Amino acid sequence: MTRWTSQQVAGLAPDASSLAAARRLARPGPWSDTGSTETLLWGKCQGSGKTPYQVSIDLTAPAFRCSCPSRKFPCKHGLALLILWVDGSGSVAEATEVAGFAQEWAAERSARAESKAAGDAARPPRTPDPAAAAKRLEERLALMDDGMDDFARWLTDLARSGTAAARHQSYAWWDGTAARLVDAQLPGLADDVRSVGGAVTGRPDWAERLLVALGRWWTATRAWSGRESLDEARLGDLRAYLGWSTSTESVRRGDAVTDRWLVLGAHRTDDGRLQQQRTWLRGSATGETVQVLDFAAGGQVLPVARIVGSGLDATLARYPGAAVRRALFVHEPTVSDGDVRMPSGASLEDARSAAAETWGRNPWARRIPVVLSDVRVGVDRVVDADGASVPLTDDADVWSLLALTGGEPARLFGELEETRLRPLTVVLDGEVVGL
Amino acid sequence: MSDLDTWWRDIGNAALLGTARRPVPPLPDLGSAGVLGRSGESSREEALLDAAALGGAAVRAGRRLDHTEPPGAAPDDHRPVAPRRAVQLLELVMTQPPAGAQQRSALLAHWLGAADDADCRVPHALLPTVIALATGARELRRPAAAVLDERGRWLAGLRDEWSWVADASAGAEARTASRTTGTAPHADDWARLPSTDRVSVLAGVRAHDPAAARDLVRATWATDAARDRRAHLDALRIALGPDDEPLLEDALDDRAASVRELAAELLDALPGSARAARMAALLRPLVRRSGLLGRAVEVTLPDEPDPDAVRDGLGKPPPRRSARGWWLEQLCAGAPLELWAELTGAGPVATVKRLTDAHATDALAGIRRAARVRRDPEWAAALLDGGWDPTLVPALPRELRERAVLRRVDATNTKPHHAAAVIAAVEPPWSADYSVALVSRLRAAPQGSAIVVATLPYLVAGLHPAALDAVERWLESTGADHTLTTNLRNLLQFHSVKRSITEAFR
Repeated sequence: MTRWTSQQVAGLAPDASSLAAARRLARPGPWSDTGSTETLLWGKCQGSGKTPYQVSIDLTAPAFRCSCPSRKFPCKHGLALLILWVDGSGSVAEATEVAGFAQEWAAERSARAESKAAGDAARPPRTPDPAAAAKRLEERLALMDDGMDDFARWLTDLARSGTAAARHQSYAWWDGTAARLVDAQLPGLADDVRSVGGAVTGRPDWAERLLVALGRWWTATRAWSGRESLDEARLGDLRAYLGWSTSTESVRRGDAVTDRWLVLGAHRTDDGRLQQQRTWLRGSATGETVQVLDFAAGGQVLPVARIVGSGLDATLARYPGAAVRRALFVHEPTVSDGDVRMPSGASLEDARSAAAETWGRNPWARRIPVVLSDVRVGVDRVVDADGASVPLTDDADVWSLLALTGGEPARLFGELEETRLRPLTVVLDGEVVGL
Repeated sequence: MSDLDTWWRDIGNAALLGTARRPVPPLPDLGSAGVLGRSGESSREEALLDAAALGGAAVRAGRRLDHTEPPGAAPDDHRPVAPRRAVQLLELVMTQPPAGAQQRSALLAHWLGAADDADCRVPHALLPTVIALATGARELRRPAAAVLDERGRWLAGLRDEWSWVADASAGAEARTASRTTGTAPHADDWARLPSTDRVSVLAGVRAHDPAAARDLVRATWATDAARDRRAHLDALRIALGPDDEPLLEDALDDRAASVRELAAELLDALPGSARAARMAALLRPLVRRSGLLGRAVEVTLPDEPDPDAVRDGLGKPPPRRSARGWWLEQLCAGAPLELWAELTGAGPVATVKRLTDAHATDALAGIRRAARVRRDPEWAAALLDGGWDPTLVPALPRELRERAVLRRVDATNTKPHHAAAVIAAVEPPWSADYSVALVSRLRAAPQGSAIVVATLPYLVAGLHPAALDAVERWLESTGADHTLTTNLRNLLQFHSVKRSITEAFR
């Protein structure tokens, strides 16, 4: 297995201070009994106590184990061992025999994975009292119906009095509407209202944005009232937009695909309240691109990021939906040693057509994953071989992208968000680099 | 403008004012899409919201892409990228500086310099971080500019805050050539260089070929501004020699006082010059032996100087100085030191001891300056016997210099800041023996942590790797002294990373 880059290790750190602590530990001094194989990495780290901490890392997942009491995951010892291993200066040598403690852990892990798989297969689906479940569902639907009716009235009032008047409303007015939507169990719609309400005062293009948002919200109310006629996929997309979550158990039982998945790119956001990690995966057999979402709030830590450009053998269960589907890992994936390649990519015009087609199937899709071929990066936009161009999102890491591409045509993976592109991955001389 | 555009604009206007005041324009023919308005009765509000939904979807799906010229590409780089291990160290230094944040600049500067020496460049992925750090820390700009190569210059050209890179790079090439091979730029190129870079180019050339550097100074002397003339003259300090005398003589007649003063100061370093002889002639009648055995020395203050003497540096005194005392100092600083043997019949040690009368302070100040700029070890040693003066230390041969400093450290080790100033008198890098001896003396000092805190910047810059074992042993014995432990560990980390950087470029 080729050793990783230090950027990949940095990407695994739960926060900056862990990485800082790890870097201080990443010198041969405190380490003993280190070694690595294709899949495992291990070592003992002398801490303040008498017994050294035992650190084991499964490089394929990647997964970590450390006997230290830290609640950070991975802890500084795991990160430090990775840094030592990555630097390749010989402090962590290739070994043929795995240290006892690491071997035990690896065995436990694989046993657990097997028994979990067996258990999942054997355990009958949990069937709670169907009558009570039906009653709960009925109550929820009634609440949502009322909330949607209320929201439709709010929309017609807004249409009657005009958007210019709405622009002069305080943020509390928008927030109040959003709060009623939350009470009606429509949190996704509430988020959209808050975000548009926050944008109307500041932006020069507020009028068209608000008009388009009114159209989107109105579509949601019409779609909701006609939901009896929607198929499962379309209802799934609508549910996702409204924020009516689907339980992971029912997703697991549903629509699973086993494939070799290429990690196309990933993006992390943190709005101070909630951290989100989006990972885009492309099935090499099906050619379908799905997103896996992870969330962490409060003191929680996001799971370790997947390595961009790597292949994962995995079964993914897809949420109901028509296009740009969300998925979750049914089992912990294994890193594929087979060949996975970034798709060759399309022109901007083709990507735009594909996006339009996607919106035709799922009008709620906020981000469309696109692989673009031969695009040149400029300071605020990308330009393809035909001269067509798309502006970059404000949060795009344009300076890294410029430094890496030097204005030469490159293949990019990114998210098309309304009219803008957020580049997440660039392919340079066959090497896949996450931004 | 198509029907659809007009309709969408009208819908926008109706939405702004509200349906209470505006009717909603009817849906136009949407062509092959086959979208039709809702059949049956619906209110104005619903019609507007329907139109917003349809129009929004149409605009999103049907928006045409802008067409623009592709941005220009970066030229090919000239240098190979730094070795993999070196790149990892650069990442480490930038993201998580070992040895504490204060030492990041020094390590980064070391990395950049080592990369330049190895004729390597910064890898593309790290260019934004390197440029951003150098934008914030001016001392890194020159070394950074030397290793950014074409891609880095191209990148910096795209962002206003990074415009310093272009200027710094123009000088970097000429500097690199002058520093590594001593190649002097062509006279035309020299004239076009920005003044800030000319000084460092001059320094580079001067170290290899003093005459070529002097020719460069001469080439633009007539047209350079006074500030530049002074700066160029100042660069001639490096390898100053008798051949520079004609230029310095000319400079004594310069229009600018600052240039004249500097020329006189530089001539102080040339005891064989005509000016030194003129100064000696003025000084000789002012000194005479006295006492029964002729072992005392009497010094008289000079009288009002004539215009020739003023030209040689006997001008206006500095503030709060007596004019005649100042002139005496200037004469002593300019005349050959050998004159004293002739006047007193004694060697340096005896002469210093015998200069005790009222005007001896001014005379000694001048002698001190002469010993300093001429690096006269005998006189420096004689003067240091009379009292500590760190500026004289560099005039001593290395061994004596280090011995003098170590003695002084022993004498001041209860006062950490004094000790730090003493240590600062030996320029880095230090010899192995001296480094080891210094560490053991600091370790013996009564206030270990205070003295390490005060001297850390010098230890960081000067310590020879051979002394690191001693530091390690010291670290093992520090016990509960947290400050001392941290500082010693930082010191070790700094040197180990620095050494790794040097090795990574081999």
